[in-house]
Amino acid sequence: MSSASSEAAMGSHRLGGATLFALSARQVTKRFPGVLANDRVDFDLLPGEVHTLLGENGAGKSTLASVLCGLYKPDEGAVLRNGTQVRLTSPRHGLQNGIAMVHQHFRLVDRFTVAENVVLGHRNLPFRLRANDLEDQVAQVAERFGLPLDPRATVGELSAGQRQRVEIVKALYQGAEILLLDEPTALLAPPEVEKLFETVRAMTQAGKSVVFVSHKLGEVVDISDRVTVMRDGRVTGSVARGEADTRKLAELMVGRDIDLSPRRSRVAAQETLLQLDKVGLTKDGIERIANISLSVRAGEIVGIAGVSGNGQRELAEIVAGLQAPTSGEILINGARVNGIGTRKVREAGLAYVPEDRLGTGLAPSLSIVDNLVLTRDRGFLVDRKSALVEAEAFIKQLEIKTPHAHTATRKLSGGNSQKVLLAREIFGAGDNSRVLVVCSPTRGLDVGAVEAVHKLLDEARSSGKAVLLISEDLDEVLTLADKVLVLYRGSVVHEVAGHEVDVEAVGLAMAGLS
Amino acid sequence: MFAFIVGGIFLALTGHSPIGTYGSLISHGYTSSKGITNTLGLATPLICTGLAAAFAFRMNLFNIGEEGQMYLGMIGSAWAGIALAGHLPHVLAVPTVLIIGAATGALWVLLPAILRAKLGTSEIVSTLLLNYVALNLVNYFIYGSRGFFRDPTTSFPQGRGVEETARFHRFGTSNTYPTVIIAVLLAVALYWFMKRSNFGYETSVFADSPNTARYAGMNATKLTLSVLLFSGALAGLAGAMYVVGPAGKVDPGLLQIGLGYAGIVVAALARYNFVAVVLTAILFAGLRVGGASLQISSNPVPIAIAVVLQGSVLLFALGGEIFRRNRLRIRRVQQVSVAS
Repeated sequence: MSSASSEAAMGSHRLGGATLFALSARQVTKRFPGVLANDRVDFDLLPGEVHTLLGENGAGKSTLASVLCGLYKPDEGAVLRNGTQVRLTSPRHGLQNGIAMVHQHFRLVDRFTVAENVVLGHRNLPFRLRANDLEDQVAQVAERFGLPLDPRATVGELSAGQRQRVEIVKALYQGAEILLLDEPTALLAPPEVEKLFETVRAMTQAGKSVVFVSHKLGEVVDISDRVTVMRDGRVTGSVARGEADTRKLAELMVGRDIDLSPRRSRVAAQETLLQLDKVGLTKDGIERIANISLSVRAGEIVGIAGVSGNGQRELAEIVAGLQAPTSGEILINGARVNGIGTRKVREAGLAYVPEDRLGTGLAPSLSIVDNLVLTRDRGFLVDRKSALVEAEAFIKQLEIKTPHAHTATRKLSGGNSQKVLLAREIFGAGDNSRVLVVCSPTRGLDVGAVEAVHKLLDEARSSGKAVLLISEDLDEVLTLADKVLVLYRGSVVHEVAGHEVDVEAVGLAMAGLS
Repeated sequence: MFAFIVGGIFLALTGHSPIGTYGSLISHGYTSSKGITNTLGLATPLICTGLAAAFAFRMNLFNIGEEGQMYLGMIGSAWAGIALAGHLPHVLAVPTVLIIGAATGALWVLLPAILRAKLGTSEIVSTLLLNYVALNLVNYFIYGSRGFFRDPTTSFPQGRGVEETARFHRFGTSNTYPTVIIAVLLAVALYWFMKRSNFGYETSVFADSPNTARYAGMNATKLTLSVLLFSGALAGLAGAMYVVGPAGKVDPGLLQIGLGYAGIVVAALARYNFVAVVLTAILFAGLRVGGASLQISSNPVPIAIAVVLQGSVLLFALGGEIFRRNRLRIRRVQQVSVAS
């Protein structure tokens, strides 16, 4: 289906064939028991290029990155460095060839300082380490690429963004010319993402190349010179910047047309179902939630945007009855529900999809059937027969991929377990349940699953539920919400109707600058 | 299997024929009619302590105090057998004694249970320490005082016998009592109850993910308390069965055989499955009985061999468990690296 575009991309490859590729994969095939992770994959990286390897979970992009950095040996095919074939036997060997990978989960020693971590594993260290010399060297490398770092700081005390910088400095210190970054923005706050991009620009100007490995369409793709898309172990397309929009890329990733366009309420909002009136929460002397008032009406989605850690979790737990507010009132269907406990809040008509799917919303080792009974009124003996019928209906309707209804939820993919959770909270909660609180419902999910989740939330809205969507993913809030509120340090600092959103104003509000 | 090979090595080292010894071990423990009834008799309280341990383990609670709870069950049921049984109609005497024994066992775990549920104090330490208190309590009642539980008719330190109505009759001339039927039925009933009931469901959610239990509004304090108390009651029942069965009094002999600790081992081997507890308990009791009778055979083998065998069974079973899990983990890592 995408052959035209991929051929066009191949054409541009051939044009570039005259120049020397910094790193290439030729017909790389890698098999794992039962899985063909890479199937004759070609990949080329120019010197000074930013190249994104895009694909859903399981598409084989991490496998390819691991082959390129020497972690895996390809079963077939070859890796070429500056046009000559190299047989990488280990990541260290890869590093000797100037190729380094920064993993999504950092591999640093928390109790060491930045400088100690950077030089860790370096072969040519003097027998006696002079801390000052090392620290100066590390600081030099960091400065050259615009990576502000204190070499004396202990790594355990650094933020995710700073740790990532340590990893990058480490790679550069060891002489990396090609840097593979696995999901580099997954753990970063927006300002840190901007910092990372500055570093990347500084690196490419110095002739180094960067490969982003990502499953998210977004910032990473925007700053790439080229994007190579993978699906099911194959390359489905390779496009230069500006040649394809996100919709096209999503189609290459998923293999079908993906609709991530905004969804708004199609019915007029009706009576108010959820109301917060001057709600506050002070815990351990710190004000976590300050004076929040908001209302959600039947048939609308109210979105709460904000950078993680600004009170989202507390707000959700207060509404769901897991914590009692220290001031203010919460009304569901007009009835006051402050601090009456989760069960009674549910009886009052609330359904809640927590941020942590496995481990809070679902019991990971229990089956789909058993997880559907979780929020029911169970009586003395648990009725699993009707739950089984329900589970099978959900599996069919929502296309949940599972061997059967008795499979443990932890064995499902993120998207499928989220479908189970949403199905229970939206359809399994009874007619009385008309308020839905949803937290970061698509975190870590594939594009296809994101679309499915958004569709479900839209359906919930259309069926007359009042939905409160709390998400750190701004795009998600903007896509779905009829009203957008920005949470900053526990208070609402910005409020705007969904179709009138000024993205810049929202972004500033999220950073606390409004 | 490996356990038997290791045991065999020990036998050979101590100058016994491994095959011959195993042969007589099996015949004394399982296949002869006297052997199997002795085994079932010993297995009866062991099933109960095994169930007690498995029940708590199910909710990730580690009740190590079955031993002490069993002693208290013995004391409580002996009191009931002496003081109450005479005033009760015949059919009610034995059940009352059993129930009071279970209740005292539960009472013994009440303090650790409250500490655990309210303050999060480790139940492992508190239940374990109470074992020593219970042990000395029994010793005191029999050796240290001229109190209620001591037989007043003789100067030899032994327990005062319970009323005859408070005891079961043995099956024929065997050492097996009808309590074995109660223990097995209990195991089956528990199996069914934990699988089907809301209580069983809530404990499985709580064991799997305490956060999920909190999310669903389950009461963790109440669950913890009731699971530990019930576990204590099962262990107390083991002591009570000893009273209505072979002992008929507070008998310090129970202190020698460590059925409480063995119950933990049995539960672990049975992977906390209640029905499997029954089979494992019988297997274990057989090793004990067979081992004990080897001592008095024509070519005496020390009881220590049976203990060595028990130890190696546990070691290899747990070792096998680790192998099983590790293999799973290796596979999972591969899948993850493919997936991401």
